[in-house]
Amino acid sequence: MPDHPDLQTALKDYRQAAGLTQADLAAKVSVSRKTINTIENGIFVPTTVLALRLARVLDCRVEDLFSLRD
Amino acid sequence: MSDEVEKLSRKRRRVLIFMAIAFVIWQLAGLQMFSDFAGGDRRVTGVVSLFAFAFWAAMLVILMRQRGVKSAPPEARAALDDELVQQNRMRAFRTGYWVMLVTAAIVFTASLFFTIEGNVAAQLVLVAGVAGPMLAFARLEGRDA
Repeated sequence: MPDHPDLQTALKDYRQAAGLTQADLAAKVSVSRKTINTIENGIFVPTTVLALRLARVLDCRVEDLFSLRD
Repeated sequence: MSDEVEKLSRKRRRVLIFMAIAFVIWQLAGLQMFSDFAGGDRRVTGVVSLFAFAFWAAMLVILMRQRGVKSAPPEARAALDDELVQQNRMRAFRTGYWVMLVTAAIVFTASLFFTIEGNVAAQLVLVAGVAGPMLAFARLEGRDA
């Protein structure tokens, strides 16, 4: 069950656009592949620090990766 | 690195489950009330309790040695204790709190109908408080594995 049902994430889209697997992205931000998977599935909401790291690796803004449902 | 992290994470989860089960058997098998279930023969429950303790101790050694973790690269070690793991650990402790409260409530209710000694009640609550978070952590770690 998602931690925050109002939160939606585009992490998977950005990751795939960057040509990275979950394992690749996980290694770049020093977390496990499972963490990336749970973020993409909306089960786990990362801290601001991890969100910023993800945005930096994927060369986008945090707001591009995470947003609130209307 | 990812394969190694997942392998070590799965191993940690498995060890925790075995440890929790062994701990519960070790502690509960030693109680008089369970000897009564086993036909009053304390030797049977004594042997079961001893084996469970030996198994629990072996698992504890495996967990403390952390074979593979110490030799893993720093990134892998960081991934083994990343944000998700930390959150799961906090949630497991929270679950343990509720498990202890529920166990205490059950023991209290049962004490209205049966005689339960104080040390037995305390042991039951402690066992729930130790095994509850371990199993909860293992369950959370298995989520989306």
